[in-house]
Amino acid sequence: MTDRRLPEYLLERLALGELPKDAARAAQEQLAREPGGGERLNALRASDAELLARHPPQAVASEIARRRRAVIVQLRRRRAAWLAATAGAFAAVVVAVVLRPGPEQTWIKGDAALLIYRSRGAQVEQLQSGAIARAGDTVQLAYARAHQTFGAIVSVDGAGEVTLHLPEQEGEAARLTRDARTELPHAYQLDAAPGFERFFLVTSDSPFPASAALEAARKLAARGNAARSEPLALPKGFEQSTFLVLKESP
Amino acid sequence: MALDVEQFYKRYGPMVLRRCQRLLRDPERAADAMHDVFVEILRRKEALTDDAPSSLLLCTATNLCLNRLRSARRKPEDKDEELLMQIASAEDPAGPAAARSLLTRIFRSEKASTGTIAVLHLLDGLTLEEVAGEVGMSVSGVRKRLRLLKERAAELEDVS
Repeated sequence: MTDRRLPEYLLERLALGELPKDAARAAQEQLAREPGGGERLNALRASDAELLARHPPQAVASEIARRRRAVIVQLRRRRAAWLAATAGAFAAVVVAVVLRPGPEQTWIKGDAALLIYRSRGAQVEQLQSGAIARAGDTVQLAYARAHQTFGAIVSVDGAGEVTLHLPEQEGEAARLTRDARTELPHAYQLDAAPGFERFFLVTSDSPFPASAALEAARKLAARGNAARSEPLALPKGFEQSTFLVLKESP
Repeated sequence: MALDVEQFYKRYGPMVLRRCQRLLRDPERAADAMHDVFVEILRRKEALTDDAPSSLLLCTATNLCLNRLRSARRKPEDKDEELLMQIASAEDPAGPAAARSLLTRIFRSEKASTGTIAVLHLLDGLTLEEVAGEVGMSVSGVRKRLRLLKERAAELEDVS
């Protein structure tokens, strides 16, 4: 490979000082052998300055933040659209599934239960906490035996993403149906986030903003693997139950 | 991992933009793709555990651009672009006739990173050793993947 030109790909990583030591040495030697090789690093730096001037960091960071928010909204809408086609049929089958809260379900405090059903083709089954699912599985969330009036359901996935499932949009927590099993209006398709998806039902006797549950979930998500097992840090007066779905490795 | 997006972009943005420009060959589409690369990286920022994220950024940009090329389906202007379009089309299970080509049949049954491996080796000109380092595989794994690819290409050519 003595006569090849150093690939742009490696040149970029060399310029950033991110090539492993041996690879960096080999790349430097190769550049030295190339006609005009030394100039390529200078040209890259000049290009950096030009591109940063054309796409200023502050403007780009704002646009990235805007797109991130849009992606989250889009995901929620996609889930809602998906429901329109399938929720009726799914709910009908869910009703036919025997309600058996599993022994592994984590009941941290209180006795409201978070229930999850999975649909694969024509089959619907009730999952137990700790069940293994895969990307593309459709799950229907439900809760039962809520004795507190207000609630929110959030989830944290292995990629650290936090999603609000109940209520549909940020605002006040939903008023719960007491002592009856209630399916959420939207079924939900598991994405390819790795590791796990953990759901939390947060309830209170007093109205509260759903953002309180979201914020607690975000803090837990920021703790990485702790989100798989630790409870949400919530103020006094809140109760929570959780449900863990492990993700099958691709 | 807390990330200062502005600082992160200052360091890596030009590299990502150049990568997108090289693959998409359109400044506007490249800038658009570059933003989405950062959105994607921030979505799975747990992957940024090492202190050399340029490899992850470049591979993410490559994947994203292959997706864009697949959607665009424009006529290739030269040999490199033709190869890229083939790789992009090859991973589209729902594409029209072009996507049901020989390469489609090969790539669809390969792991997701095959498109990136193919670009790094066939377009960027990285050696097998360098590709292995970039995608976190052994050299023998990359070599085997490419050898099987060639063998199956030959078999499929024989039957088509």
